[in-house]
Amino acid sequence: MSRRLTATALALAAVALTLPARAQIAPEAETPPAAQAPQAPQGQVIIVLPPGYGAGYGPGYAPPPYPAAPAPLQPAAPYNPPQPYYPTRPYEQQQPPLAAREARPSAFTMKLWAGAAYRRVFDVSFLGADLGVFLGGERRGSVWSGGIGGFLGRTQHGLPTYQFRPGASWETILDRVRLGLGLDLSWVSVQRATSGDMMNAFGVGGQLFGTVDVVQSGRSALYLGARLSAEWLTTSGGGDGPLLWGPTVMAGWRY
Amino acid sequence: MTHVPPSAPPRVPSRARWLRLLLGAAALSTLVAGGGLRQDELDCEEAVAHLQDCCPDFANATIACVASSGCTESDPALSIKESACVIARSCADVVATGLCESTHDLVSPHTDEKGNSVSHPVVCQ
Repeated sequence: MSRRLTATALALAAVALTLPARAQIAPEAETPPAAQAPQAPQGQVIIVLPPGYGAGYGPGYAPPPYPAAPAPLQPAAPYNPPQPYYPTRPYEQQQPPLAAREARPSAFTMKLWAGAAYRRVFDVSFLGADLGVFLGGERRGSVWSGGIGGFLGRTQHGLPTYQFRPGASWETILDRVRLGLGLDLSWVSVQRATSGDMMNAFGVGGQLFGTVDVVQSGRSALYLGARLSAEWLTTSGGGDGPLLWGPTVMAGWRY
Repeated sequence: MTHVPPSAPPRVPSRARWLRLLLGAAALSTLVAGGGLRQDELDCEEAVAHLQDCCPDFANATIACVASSGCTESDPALSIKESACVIARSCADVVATGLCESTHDLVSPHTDEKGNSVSHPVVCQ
């Protein structure tokens, strides 16, 4: 009894699965089957499929009622030539566009530096340290600042030399690089070997400098830089005043 | 009826103020700094520093490297050429050639009250 119920249930399920397929093949479905359905043995279920089933289609799927046409060829998309690979930096480090740089907010800035310096006047050379502290403001990608620089050094034969250099500077910001120039007044003192007195001179000069930010953290940065300075000094010997000039390599901190 | 704001008092332009400060500082600096650097003085002082390094008893030397003008004009004891000659010599050479003794109390070229020029023979050439 139970076996007969199971077979009946399977037959009903098979018919329910094939109903949608039968609906798609209406012309063939209306034609009566050509052959007599075979008699199923006792206890077995025979599922009769209409013609066309099973030729290239999975069980339960009928071929489409229209002739299958090949898909039209799509025009090829425009070919993009290969582009070189540019590694991108993190968003924070990317250089802002010019408009963004000019839109930087005006802000207070300060910078300190110290470095090794070479100076020369007449035929006398000086080696020493160049120091400075400047305060100023940043506006539209430029920095105007004023402050005090100085040089502490010795001549080739050991005469102590001091320079006091108040001045002003302007610099432009090019991402991590800054280029600038400055003007300053200058007092120079060289200690005499004979008496210990000072030989003093006054001067007016200028500098060209460039720095590169090595470490940036928020608004502050550690930087390396180079400076070429020249000061035109007074002389008591008549004629043109001597030129005190020389390069400086420096490291500094900026806020 | 329109509101007219009170006119602000005239301001001294900041650039002119800075320029005046700069010129004032320059003038003061010139007075403080004196005459300025002279090559003969600086070279002479460098040569004396070299002699102090090389000569054992040069600390009490009376050689002077001051240039002065006025009633009695004076020049540094060592001329630019003599200073360059001294600086170019090694300490052994300075001692061997007797420069320690010849420059120890070297008189600076000058003019005395009577207008006579006083100088010394060339010590290094």
